Amino acid sequence: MLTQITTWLDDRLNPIMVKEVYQGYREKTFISGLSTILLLALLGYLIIAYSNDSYINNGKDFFNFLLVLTGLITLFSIPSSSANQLRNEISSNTLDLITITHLSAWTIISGRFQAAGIKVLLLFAYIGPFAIASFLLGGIGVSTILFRLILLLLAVALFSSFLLLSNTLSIFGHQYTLLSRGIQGVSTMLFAPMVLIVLVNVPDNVFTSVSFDTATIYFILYYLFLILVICFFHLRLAADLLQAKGIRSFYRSKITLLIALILSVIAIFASNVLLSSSLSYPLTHNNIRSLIMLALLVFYIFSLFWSSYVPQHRLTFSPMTRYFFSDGYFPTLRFVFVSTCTVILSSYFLSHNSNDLWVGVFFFSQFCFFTGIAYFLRALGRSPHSAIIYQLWLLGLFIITVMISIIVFSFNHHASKLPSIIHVFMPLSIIDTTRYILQAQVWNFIPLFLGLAFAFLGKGIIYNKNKKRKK
Amino acid sequence: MIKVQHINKYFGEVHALNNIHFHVPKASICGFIGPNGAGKTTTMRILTTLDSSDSGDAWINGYHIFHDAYQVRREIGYMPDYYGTYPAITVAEYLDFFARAYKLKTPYRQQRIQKVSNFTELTGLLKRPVEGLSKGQKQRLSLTRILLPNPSVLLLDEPAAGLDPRARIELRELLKLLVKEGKSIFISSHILTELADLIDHVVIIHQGAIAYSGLLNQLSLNQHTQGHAYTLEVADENTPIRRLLLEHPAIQEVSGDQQFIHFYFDTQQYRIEELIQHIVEKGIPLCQIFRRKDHLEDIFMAVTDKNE
Repeated sequence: MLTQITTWLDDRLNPIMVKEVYQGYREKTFISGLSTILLLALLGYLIIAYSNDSYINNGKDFFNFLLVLTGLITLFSIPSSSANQLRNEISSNTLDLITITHLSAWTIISGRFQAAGIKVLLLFAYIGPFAIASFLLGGIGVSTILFRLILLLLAVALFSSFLLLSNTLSIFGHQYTLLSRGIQGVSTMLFAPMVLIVLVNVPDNVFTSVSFDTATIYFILYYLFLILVICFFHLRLAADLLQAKGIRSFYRSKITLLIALILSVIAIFASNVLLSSSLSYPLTHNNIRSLIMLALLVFYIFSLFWSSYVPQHRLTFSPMTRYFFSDGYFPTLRFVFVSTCTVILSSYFLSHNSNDLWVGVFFFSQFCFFTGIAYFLRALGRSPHSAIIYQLWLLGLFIITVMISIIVFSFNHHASKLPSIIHVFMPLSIIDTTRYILQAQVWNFIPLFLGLAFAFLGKGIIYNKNKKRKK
Repeated sequence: MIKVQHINKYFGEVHALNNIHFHVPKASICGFIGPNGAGKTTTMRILTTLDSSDSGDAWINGYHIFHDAYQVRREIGYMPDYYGTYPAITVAEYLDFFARAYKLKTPYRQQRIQKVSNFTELTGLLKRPVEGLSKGQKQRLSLTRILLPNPSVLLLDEPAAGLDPRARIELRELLKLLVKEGKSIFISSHILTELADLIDHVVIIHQGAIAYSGLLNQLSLNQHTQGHAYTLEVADENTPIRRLLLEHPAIQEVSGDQQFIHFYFDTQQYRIEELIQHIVEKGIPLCQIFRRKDHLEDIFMAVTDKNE
């Protein structure tokens, strides 16, 4: 009986989802990196909590850290990865092979969406014990934890479906591929930090004092349904776009859009429900700056995960200058530089706070440092070994981070500038970053120069290898 | 069975397919030949419902490619001119994914993967990562993939491109076996030698238009040129035979080496005996002269030249 049920279920699984899970299961670098971060962060918090009385009952801070980390992965990595895979399939024509199977365009698109969902749920299961640990540390309730995770899940669903839709545009050609990349970049930078700020800043009493009366249930159901309809519309439209022009029909997309519009109109008429809700936009004071800083933090975190995925291909033999200024690494660096400058200068002109400029230097410097070293490691040898070295390198820096945190929280940290200087090399800070950045001043440039030096060294190694191979 | 009627396709100003019209009967193997850029892949993509035409109709096993697109996809197996592999996935997982995509149910799915893998001799590679396979192995994997749903019509786009001679021979043997099983195969290629021993029908496409379609054995060089292909062997390699042939008004396209010389001779206006006599009179010692069997390359050149 059980075998029959599992067989029945197995046959009904979306093949795209199954394939994505096969592939995702092998991303060991990601899992090991995440495990390292979580275990060391928990260790750090536990040490801090039991060595400093003022830090007891600080499970809320730990959970917020956990939420931001999970949010960064679920909002930045998972939807983008699903959408990127779809775009790559379109550009490399492998989507054609799937299209001519017996799968409908809807199954293809929804499979990717389901795969993203499965990955998020697996991640939630993975952080489950850490969420329990945050509850045991005290200061946060189960309902707060659950509600925040559910809200995060809904935001990821909405965002994943949107990115899948925008990346389907690649089917119209190279210009549209660029457009979809642009949409993805801008929407990720705007949407994800906003969601994270909202989730972290929602007052706890919103979750703890929820009374499940009829109005609240309607309210929750309405939003749930609206989000699902919008997701469905995104996916339906994406599926229609995947069809060949001759057999493309937007019939179902139009129907879904109609339902979404009707729902929205109902919401406007019933606006007293919305206005009376304590779940309205919970951004508080100084939010624009928080948003900008979080956007930069995203770059920072991304640099850590991306740097282990530095392109491994060997460049063809070409002049030295091309090696140093044109392959995947330096254009990315230029992109990060321009983005960081844009974000930081916007913040500076908004708040006239020159400290923001140092924060910008710090973030860009961090990006150069980690990606530069990762690039160098990749240039040295084959990827499996360099990936392990990179993981060990990350692990070592986390240990230093935790140790510095203990020093800072346990002793008088105003006396010495040393923690600030060490801080400029930290991959992920669990202490008050801004203060240390400002204290470090020009020391913030050191990682930048070191990173660039390593990257140039890596380029030189690749150049020489190719030169030898050419001979 | 494939039936194509008056298909036109434009890419901007370029008339990529110009009134394409041909028919491939059931249980036959048809070569779709033409130079690069002639419109082979565009035609293939339209037939596989991956692209649409600007006008015209086509049917596969009686199903219209636009109106019954989903049914057409159930009838065909399409192997494009790329492998379409994925990273971080084994051969078994790759085949399982496509078997699921073809909606094969659980007990049958594994049996089918096993059966087709045996047929394409891929069983020993099931646990290998797809990325690590050689070109020949990837091509066999592609063939395995399209055979999973047991389609009656196979559309193969440049299947032997990039393969070494051994892999080509293996592929050709597999295709012969599939024809024996009663499948119709529509195979495109610009390497004509690989098709010559395999096909019974041929469709020649040139500059987006069909230059010939029909049975291969009804296609002879004589239909498209005024002459025949000959090969001549001389005993002494230092004779001025090549110059003599080039100066003769009935001879075209002289090729070959100093000993064996190939050429086309206009048999409608001149007689070959006169040429032989002329060579003997010039004191050139001849070993032999014989009319060559019509090669697919020769026919293709003649057909496309005629359509220039």
